[in-house]
Amino acid sequence: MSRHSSVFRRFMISYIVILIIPSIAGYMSYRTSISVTRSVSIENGVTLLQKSKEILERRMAEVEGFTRQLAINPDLNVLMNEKPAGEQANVYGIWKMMRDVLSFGQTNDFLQHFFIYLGNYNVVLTPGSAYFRPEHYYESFKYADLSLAEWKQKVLGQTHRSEIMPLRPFVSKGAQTSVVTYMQSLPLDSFNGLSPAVAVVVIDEETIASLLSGFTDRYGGWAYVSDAQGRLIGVRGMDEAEAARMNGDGKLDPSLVSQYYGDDLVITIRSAANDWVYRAGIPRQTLLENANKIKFITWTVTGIALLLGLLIGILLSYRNSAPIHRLIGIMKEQFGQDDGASRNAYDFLHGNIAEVITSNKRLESELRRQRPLLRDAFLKRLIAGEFQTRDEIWAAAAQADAGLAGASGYAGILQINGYAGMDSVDILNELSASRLLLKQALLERTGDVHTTDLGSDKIVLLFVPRSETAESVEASRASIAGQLAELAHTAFEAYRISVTVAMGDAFDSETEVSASYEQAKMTLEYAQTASRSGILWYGEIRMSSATYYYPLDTELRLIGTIRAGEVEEAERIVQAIMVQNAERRDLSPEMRHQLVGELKGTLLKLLDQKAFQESELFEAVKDRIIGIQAAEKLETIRTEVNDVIASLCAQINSRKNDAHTRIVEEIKRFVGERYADPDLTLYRVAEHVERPEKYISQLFKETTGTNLSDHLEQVRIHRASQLLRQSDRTVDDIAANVGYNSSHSFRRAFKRVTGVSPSNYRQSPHD
Amino acid sequence: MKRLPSAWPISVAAFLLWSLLLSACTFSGAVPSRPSPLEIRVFAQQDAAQDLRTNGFTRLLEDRFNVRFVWQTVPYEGAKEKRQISLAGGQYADAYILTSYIDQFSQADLLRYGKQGVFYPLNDLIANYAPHIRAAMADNAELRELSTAPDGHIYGLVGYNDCFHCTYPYKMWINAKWLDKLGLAMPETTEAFKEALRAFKTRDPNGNGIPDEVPLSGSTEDFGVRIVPFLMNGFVYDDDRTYLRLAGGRASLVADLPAWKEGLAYIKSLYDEGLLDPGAFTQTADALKKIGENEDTQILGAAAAMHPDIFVGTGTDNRRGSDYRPVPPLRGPHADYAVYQGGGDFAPGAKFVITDKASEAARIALIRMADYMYTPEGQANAEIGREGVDWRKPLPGERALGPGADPVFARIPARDGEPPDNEGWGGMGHFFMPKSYRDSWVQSDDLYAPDGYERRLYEATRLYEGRESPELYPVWSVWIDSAVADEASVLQTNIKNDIDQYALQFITGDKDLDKDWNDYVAGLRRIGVDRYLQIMQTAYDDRQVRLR
Repeated sequence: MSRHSSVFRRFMISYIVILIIPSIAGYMSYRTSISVTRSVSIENGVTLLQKSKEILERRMAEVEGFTRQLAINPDLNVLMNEKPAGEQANVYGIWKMMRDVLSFGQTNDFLQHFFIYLGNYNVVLTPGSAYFRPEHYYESFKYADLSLAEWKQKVLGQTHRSEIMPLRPFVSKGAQTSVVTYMQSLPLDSFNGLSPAVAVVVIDEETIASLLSGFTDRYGGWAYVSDAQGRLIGVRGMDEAEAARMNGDGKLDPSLVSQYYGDDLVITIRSAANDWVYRAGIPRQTLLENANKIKFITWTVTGIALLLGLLIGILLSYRNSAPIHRLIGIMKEQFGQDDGASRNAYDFLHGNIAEVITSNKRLESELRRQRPLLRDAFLKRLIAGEFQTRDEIWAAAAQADAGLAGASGYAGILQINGYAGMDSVDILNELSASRLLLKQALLERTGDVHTTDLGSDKIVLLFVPRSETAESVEASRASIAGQLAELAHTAFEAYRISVTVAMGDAFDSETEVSASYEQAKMTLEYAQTASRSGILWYGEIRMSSATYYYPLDTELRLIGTIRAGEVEEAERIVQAIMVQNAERRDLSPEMRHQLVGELKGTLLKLLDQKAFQESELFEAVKDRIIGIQAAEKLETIRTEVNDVIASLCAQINSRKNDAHTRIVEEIKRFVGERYADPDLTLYRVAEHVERPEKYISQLFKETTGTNLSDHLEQVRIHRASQLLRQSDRTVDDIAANVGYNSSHSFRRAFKRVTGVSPSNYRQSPHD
Repeated sequence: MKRLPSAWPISVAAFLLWSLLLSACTFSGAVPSRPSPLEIRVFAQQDAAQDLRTNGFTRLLEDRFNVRFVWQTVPYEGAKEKRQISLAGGQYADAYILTSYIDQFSQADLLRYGKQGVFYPLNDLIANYAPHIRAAMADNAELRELSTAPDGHIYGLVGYNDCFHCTYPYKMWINAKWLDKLGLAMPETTEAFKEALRAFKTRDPNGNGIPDEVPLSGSTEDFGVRIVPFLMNGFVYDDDRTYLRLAGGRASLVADLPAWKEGLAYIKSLYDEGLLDPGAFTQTADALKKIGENEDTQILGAAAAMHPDIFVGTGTDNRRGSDYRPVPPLRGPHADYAVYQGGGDFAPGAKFVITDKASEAARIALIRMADYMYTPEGQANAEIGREGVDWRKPLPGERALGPGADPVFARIPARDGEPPDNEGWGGMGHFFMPKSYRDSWVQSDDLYAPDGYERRLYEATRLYEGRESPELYPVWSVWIDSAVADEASVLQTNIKNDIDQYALQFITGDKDLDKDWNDYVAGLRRIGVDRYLQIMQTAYDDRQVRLR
């Protein structure tokens, strides 16, 4: 796995970076939601406290309103201003008042307990009962920290204007409680001195505290109300001593609406009307409850999502880095580099690909440079008659970029006169220069000519007019003749070069070029022997020669052809010889004898090769050769010679074929062995049989009729179908087993070859 | 290079997704484990010293029946008005559990609200869920008659208190210690009574040199604390309820008779001499008790009350409880009656109703609770308090109140002056106290011991027994026709108010007995006394027919 690290790491890092971006976004939104939650909680607390404050103020306003109502009650006014007649009180008046005030305070629970003290009668008048002895009233309802005398003096004896006595302990019929007292002297405008009556409302702290219960019930916190001097009015959720302490605590800034104090968030509101301070505390815990919920979910979900993302990232990195590693692997194999993975993989690939491209370019330029040489080589082969078929000629022409424009033309040889037999360096240079000049001069005149050097003083000319110019043979001959004449003239005039041109007959197919060339050769020979100069055509010469025509190079060519096993070419050469000797010359019988004898000799020489000596046909063929009668007609001889040639060539070919067959067999064997290797390529097979790839590919196709790759496929699929039938392995398993990397491509191939999918194949009955 | 099988990452991803979903769903609320208690809203009067929310008997019921009470409480003062307002609002409670002697629904109320459907008839509930109530109704004809309206429905339960001494609520108690000190005998006539009071006022029986004695006091409440009836019964039979008498089957008003006028004159004379505490007409029983329990010195001479504990402490360590002895019905110029209120302390009407606001489950729970209180133990817990704290099982050798009865309960008396312990509902818990129940309580033979109190009352009542007028109007067994019930109750209220108010005015001198008497009588006529008589006569005639 270490090979994978660098590319794999890169992918991983990039995926992680991608993951980080939404994580950061999520984190920011999480922080925002937390802070929003917190501030919402605080707002809610403030709102709750304000609502409580509003209700409290409204109730107190009602209490005040109640005392106002009493103040304007006419009966009460009369009653409180009466002068008591003797000892007796106005019992009836008091009784009536008592029943009248009963209706008050039914609706507001703050008014559950109140009394009116009538100074003139010394009566404490409560709804439902009149206490003619105030001390008896005070026995039932008294302040724990005020004696009777103190109470009489403080409450009953002074004037009060909307005065509120803050929370003090109170005992109501034996029950301990705390109360806030509202006192108002009646009539409303009593200032100093005694007022005739006092209305006193005793408010149980429970009724006040129940307004604050929102904080204890909902938040588990506390709340209290204190007046402008800091004395408690009501408290809930903590005891009074604590509240008093908190009031006096300097750490609490009274101007801040919300602040943190200890474990709680403390909210403070001041009443605009009477400067009362409303304070509530919410434990931090509760505030953060919602926030904590968000926190928990966010961390959990994000954590899992990140983990998921990480795993998927690893997977994807793996998959994405694999192809690159494969590339690198192949590169290394091809170029034989065994560097460790320390180099950057991409640089490695880049370098190698650059190298490949560079090499490629170099090769191309090399090839281009070689082109003229190739062209030259092609021309030489062409005039030598080495090509069997027109296709070969075209293929070779295309490869050499020789560009034969047409299929017909004239072959000729141009000789520079006067240099026969000289070969010093200077002469050679001179000749070389002359040749160059001549070629250039010729090319200036016409583009339809191809040239190649022959020896040091001769140039072979190949006139191939373009096929579009539908000139007749005669016309082209005439124009060629004209061009040559001009050339000879110019050469002599300008450079004092004297030339002789020998032209063969026209050829009308590329395969006939060599014949035309031979004719040109013969014409030149004749020109030299007859000391003719200028332009000579083959048709013009009369070769009434008495000797037979069987030049040595023809014989060599024939031998070479037969040895290569090329029957048709050999027959053609024989035919050419026959034509030469039958049509062009008038052979005497002795000459004919000689010719036939030489032919026979050639064949026997051939037979004397190792290749034939070991063959069982040796004797038979030898006999046949010997059996050729010179006296027969040339035609018959030709047929017999062809027969021999045929047998010889067949022999050669069969050996060749054997070799071919062997190779194909070896290929088949190799494939049959190694089909399971998914890396079995043409390259490897070629490597194994030690032949070029193109060669074996073509050979295989020619021999067996199928492509090598198709064959490989068939081998694999056949094996796969065997496995499907005979074993229980999974399709994917089988695919890997027969050398397919991807089970998908396996399935496709299977279907292509057999026509059904692998699973269907398995399920269908087999025979 | 072997490739990873492609199934692996998918399964991992699936697992992670699943765990993700799981964690996101962990915030669903917790499933409750037992059914939450049924909430029942109840209207009740609550004394200042009581807290029904935390009361021991409330807790007992809540646990036993898996309910949670939501109390709508009103104080004793103005309880009646508050009750009337509560029904008018339309947002009334599921049930009313009242203290009958403070305030309860009248028969007219029952008929009216019953017909409107506001009160749910209890017949089916009793038949299906309340075996004890069913048995009690079957055995006790009086209870049955009292509870069942003429249309056959039971709209509410009365506070059935077969309390012997309660049948003669208007008793007078006099400070016997002072009598002895001053060498006076128990007064037997109205004049002798006035003499005794005069002696109390002028001769300083408490010996502190200050004329701070209160010769006679009383209160405005219902349990025999009003002074007018006791005194008026020396002149004419005053039942303090109907102000009627039946002569030969015909009903007539007593409050406009000359004898009534004479009675008022008598009481006025007491007031004029300063023998009558002005608070008697204005104060609650609480204030009265404060007088009786006056801190330093005893100042109370005589008080009207059903039983002494109303005006003086009678528990353990009491100082003055034994000082007060019952005064037998005084003989006046025309009469010497004692007020009899038949049917025990069964004020007709109802103290327990279930309204149409109650859900079915609430109704069943409520009737079962009432049924529980129809058992002796349930009743004891409701009325008195917790076993071991306020009452206990009797010890061997203790005797029950009723002659020949077996003792079942014994009171643990409260210490004098201590605040009540908030364990029982007290008067609110009076549901079914038949004679058998009351007689089963242990009572000492010592009349003045705290645990002999009932016996003391029993003996006191014997002074009054049988002294009622033969011409009384048996209002407790008369059902007014529902068609006229509203009218009757309005008339009754107005007439009573008028009579009481004028009585007060005459007594305190606000109105002159001679000059304003005719106005008074005319006024009575004006507010419909004749119609009132008509209705009451018809009701009585119907009763006669029914009983035959």
